[in-house]
Amino acid sequence: MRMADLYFCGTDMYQCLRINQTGTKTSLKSVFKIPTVIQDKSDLEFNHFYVVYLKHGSQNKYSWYMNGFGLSETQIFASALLIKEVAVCKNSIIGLSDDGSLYRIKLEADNNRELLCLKTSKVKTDENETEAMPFKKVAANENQIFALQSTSDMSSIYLVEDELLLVAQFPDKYIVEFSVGLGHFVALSDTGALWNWGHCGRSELASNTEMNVMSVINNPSRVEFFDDLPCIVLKVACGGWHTLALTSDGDIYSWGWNESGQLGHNTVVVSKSDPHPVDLGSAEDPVVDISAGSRHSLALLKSGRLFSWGRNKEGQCGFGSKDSSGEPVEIGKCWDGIATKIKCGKWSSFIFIK
Amino acid sequence: MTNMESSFASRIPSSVHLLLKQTFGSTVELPETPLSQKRLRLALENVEGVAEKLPGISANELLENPFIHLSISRLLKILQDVFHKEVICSEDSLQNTNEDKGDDLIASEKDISVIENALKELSYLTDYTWEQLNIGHWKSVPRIWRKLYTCLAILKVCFLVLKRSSNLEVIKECDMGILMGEPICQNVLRKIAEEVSSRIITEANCNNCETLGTSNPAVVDYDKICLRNKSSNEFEVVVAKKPSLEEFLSFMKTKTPVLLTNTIDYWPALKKWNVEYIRKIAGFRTVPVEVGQKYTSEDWTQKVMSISEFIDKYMQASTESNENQCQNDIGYIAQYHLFTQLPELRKDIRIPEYCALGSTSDHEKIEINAWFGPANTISPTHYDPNHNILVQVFGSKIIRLFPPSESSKLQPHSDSSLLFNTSQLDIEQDDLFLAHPEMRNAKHCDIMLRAGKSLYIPPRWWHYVKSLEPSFSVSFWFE
Repeated sequence: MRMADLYFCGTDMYQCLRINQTGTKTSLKSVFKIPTVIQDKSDLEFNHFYVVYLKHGSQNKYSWYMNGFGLSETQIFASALLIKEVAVCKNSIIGLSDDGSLYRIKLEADNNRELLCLKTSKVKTDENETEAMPFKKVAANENQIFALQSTSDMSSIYLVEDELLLVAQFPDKYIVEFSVGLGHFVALSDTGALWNWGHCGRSELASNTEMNVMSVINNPSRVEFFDDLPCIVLKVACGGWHTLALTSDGDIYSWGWNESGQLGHNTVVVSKSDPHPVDLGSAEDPVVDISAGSRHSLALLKSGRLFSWGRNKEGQCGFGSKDSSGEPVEIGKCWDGIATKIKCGKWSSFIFIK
Repeated sequence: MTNMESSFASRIPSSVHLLLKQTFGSTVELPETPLSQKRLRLALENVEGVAEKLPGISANELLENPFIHLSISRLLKILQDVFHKEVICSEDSLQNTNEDKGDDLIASEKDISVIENALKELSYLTDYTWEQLNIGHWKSVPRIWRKLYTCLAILKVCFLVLKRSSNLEVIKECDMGILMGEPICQNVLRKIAEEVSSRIITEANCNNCETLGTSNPAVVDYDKICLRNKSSNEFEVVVAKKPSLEEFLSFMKTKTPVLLTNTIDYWPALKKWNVEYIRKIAGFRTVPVEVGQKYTSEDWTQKVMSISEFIDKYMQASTESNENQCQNDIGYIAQYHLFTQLPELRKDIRIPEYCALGSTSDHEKIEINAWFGPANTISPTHYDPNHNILVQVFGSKIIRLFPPSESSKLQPHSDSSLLFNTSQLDIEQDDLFLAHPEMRNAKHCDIMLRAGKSLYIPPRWWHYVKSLEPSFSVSFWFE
């Protein structure tokens, strides 16, 4: 369970990660090791202004901690709640417990502009219908957090605020994973079928229907593109305005806004609504994991090699310069061990090393 | 024009000073000197709703975003600390030298690094806000984000001024705040921009007294130029030399397009403006530029750049190498309210008196847009809901007009589309006649619009517009 090391690239403007970035001004080094204080953990969520991370204690006990907003290594959620997964946004943190319940922490500033204390409350579910239905996943964009319920009869995605608000429903479908951009959603079923919906003014949605910059597609629309391919989609990751899909062949397809080159197609085209493969130039080395930041993308290959592309103003792509790249660039290895997991923050990337 | 780039002893625009005082007026304790009291009182009298801590945004609006809340208040504290020191310095120096109002803010070394950090953080917050501004369609974005963008731009301008940055840097921030945001704080960014821009122009004039060469673009043979695919049903446009208001009213009532001559002879712009003059007056201002052959093209996009950059990148190319110019290398400052941003140019043009014949004589309701670009900019066939007087200041354009009765032949995009007022047909495409036989008898007229002339386009008349050389047009839309 325990990861050996955690590396980071991008900016930690508010020093949540306790990285000393100033010491390396002279070198082009742009991937930083996160200090041991936050090191002993297997998962974390980094918003612009705070980080939430999982720490394992003795006897299989684990707890979530938070840095930022003036807090330092402060435990959030009672250990007894057994929170296994969290999602974070600008004003709240949602924890998903072992038994499928949701717990919410609202981040509020008072009129003196000081952060109010952290209080956990259980998110109420509708007594009649959803009582027995556990939540399976949580996902967030900068502004909102969403949760997924699924059974083979019905899958539902809710917006989680003071109350639950139904966003989308999939009768007779078993949704296994979903991801949210700043204005669009993607959901993946157990059969590898893909749906997307939301804003489409920047080509966020892959679909055959006619769309224009004004329209919002409220109902999930099936992405048929992958039906003709001899492989299925295993994982999806939404950036702010783009989507990455990882197929069983180890290829990445991307579509959406390309203003920083986040599609990785090596083109100046501003946006694309039809999925295109990203060329990593390594047919023998399949992609095993993908992640997307606000305007950049990250891919992990089976061999442990890492590629990134898109916006790099904050160094989130981890390749030295601060220029954005419209084509994938390999991140130079500066760690011992092998990268096993990746996770993008909004303007940052995390690399888990074993 | 390299002289324009050089910074000179930066003097603080009085509007910045005013803004800072307005923001901190109630909290900054100034030394009890008669002069300072007088200045402060003056500053406060000019502004209503003084001393809200966050410029232009009420605290309640940000409760949903605790982070922005916390970070901006911290930045304001820094600004206040630095400004407080500056004010005391400045009041001291003012006592000694009443004349020297400009050099009164002197930042210390330590303050400079504080300011640098604040600017870095502001740039982060601005990027954050930019992302929020780009969620969904522009029109559906909550106003708070536009206000916040401008608020951050105001803070940036304050810090840049305290840092004694060049006027060009300051004006760039002002323009970004104006373009992306809302006119909060009595539109202070525009006031600052006006002051700073007049300083830049004065400076440029001092350093660069040589007269501007009138750039002579490639000669256009107007007699030989025409649009392709004329139909059998072409009619001649009515030409009127400075018609009276009554005559013009009858054109409006009968919905007759008219080529107007001698109506703008008195415009200073007609004699003064050319590409280099625009560069001199406005080169350092940041504007939105449409890039791509036309707004219906797939690769069409908008970019934000300075007018100088625009001229260097898109205007030179068209005069020097017409032949090998790539189609997507067309840039066009189109349908842009340039004149509210640049009063220096606004004073060279006049609202045609015919506009008073509209249903409202309120000048505020008349929409004035600038259209500035190289040869071969194209506005695809479309119509507008209002009366339009299109004035050609320099260069020339060729225009094809179709009456509203021909709409069905022009195949507009569907009603639900944002492009409902635009034809799906490219009238200059040769296979058009083959694919759409009905176009063969579509009623139309072609008009050469040369400098000094204007075209009255009645509401809902379809028009296709193409520039023949570097061109500046001004359109007046009225109801």
